[in-house]
Amino acid sequence: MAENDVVKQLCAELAHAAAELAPDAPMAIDLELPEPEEDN
Amino acid sequence: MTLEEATAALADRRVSSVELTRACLERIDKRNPELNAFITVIADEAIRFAGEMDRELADSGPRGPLHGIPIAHKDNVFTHEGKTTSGSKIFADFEPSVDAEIVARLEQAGAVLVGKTNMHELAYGITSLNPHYGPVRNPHDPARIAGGSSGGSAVAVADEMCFAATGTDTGGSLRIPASFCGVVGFKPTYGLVGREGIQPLAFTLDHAGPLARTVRDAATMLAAMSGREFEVEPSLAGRIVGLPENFFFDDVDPDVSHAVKHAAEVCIRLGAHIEHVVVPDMERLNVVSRTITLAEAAAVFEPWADRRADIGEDVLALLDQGRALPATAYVNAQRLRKELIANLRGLLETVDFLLTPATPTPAPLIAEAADIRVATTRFVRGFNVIGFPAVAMPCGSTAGLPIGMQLVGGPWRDADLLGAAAALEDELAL
Repeated sequence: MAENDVVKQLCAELAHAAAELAPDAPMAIDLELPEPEEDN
Repeated sequence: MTLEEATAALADRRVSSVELTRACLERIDKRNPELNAFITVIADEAIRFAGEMDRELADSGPRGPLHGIPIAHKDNVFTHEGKTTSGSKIFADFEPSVDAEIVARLEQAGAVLVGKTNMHELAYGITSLNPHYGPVRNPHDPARIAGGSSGGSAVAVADEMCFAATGTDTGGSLRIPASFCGVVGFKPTYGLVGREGIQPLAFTLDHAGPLARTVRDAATMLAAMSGREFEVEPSLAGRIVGLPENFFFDDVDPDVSHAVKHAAEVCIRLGAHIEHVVVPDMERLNVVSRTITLAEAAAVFEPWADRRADIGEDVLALLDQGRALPATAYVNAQRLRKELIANLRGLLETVDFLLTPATPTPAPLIAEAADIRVATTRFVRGFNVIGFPAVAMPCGSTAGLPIGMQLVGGPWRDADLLGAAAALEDELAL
């Protein structure tokens, strides 16, 4: 199968898998921001 | 001899580290020309360091259970000793100036590095039929694949060229070769083992872990690699083991299916309760895994995108697919991932472990190993998406080939999982 056909098929499978994904579902990324140091 | 037995023999002065190391190097000399498990053998430095460990043992006792034990690292793990090729022509002459975190930890624990193991190119595949460094062959039948991408590490351990080895696992790359070669491959909880100084493939799916001949040996390696202590209590008494009713026994070799279900009966003998469960979302997890891997790998290797002639055909096709993938697909896969993690976490709150086949078949013939990636990874890669710990270990054999099962635990329950696996290993007594 050509590269683009593989990608098209995967995108279709993903669209099906994500069909019920909530519109406000966040992305699973941890920004790892350090917590502020406590004031002395 | 297992790692645990070697540790005891060293402690009793029945053997020295130099003797163990020489035995491993002799085994590599004898077997590596056929099996091709190693890209680089580090003989002189291994003997020197083993001698240092012997002197230290005599002077001040052992650093721990890995003191003087010969091991190997997968060749995508940076070592200041020798080259780190990642199984790639692009990195053929790469000599890292520093060790990976796990290399430093294992050296600090006294482990002796005998060499760097062969692997699927860039860790992006499951056959370890490497176009640049030659195919890794299965020690149970050299006409068959070893699995991958940590194929050389699994073969080196299975064929007694070293006592344990490191590997990486983005979509089953520790567990698939463990299954095909008849050893233990442990993918820890995401984040338990540091990945600093390991060539990435897909940042948010990559894990590092050990390959060993027994569960206890894998636990010893994991403790050193993670810098944590693990109390491994071999027991399944009172535990609930989930045996999937869906997905995991579809299109599976009958001998594999039989062996895994026999292991479930052994769990009952050990005092566990078997709960028949429906595992949600496995097809969706696999789609998410394939999407994220394509996108992240394409991004990782973008700086070398113009080196097309130096990349094998199968890996190049995947990198091209990754570059052609819309950004929206990657974003939505990551969004869906969060939902799927919550669903699987829910299941792992009702059972302690899931018991599944590790691979749908024993090791395929090299001649029949084209286009098996998606089918061979389908029971393992979903657990990289959710990050839960999973171990592949032998549960039987068919026609002289090992059969591997997979035991999955809840997040950060790696020690529990090792304890359950150790109990099963003892009772199966293969």
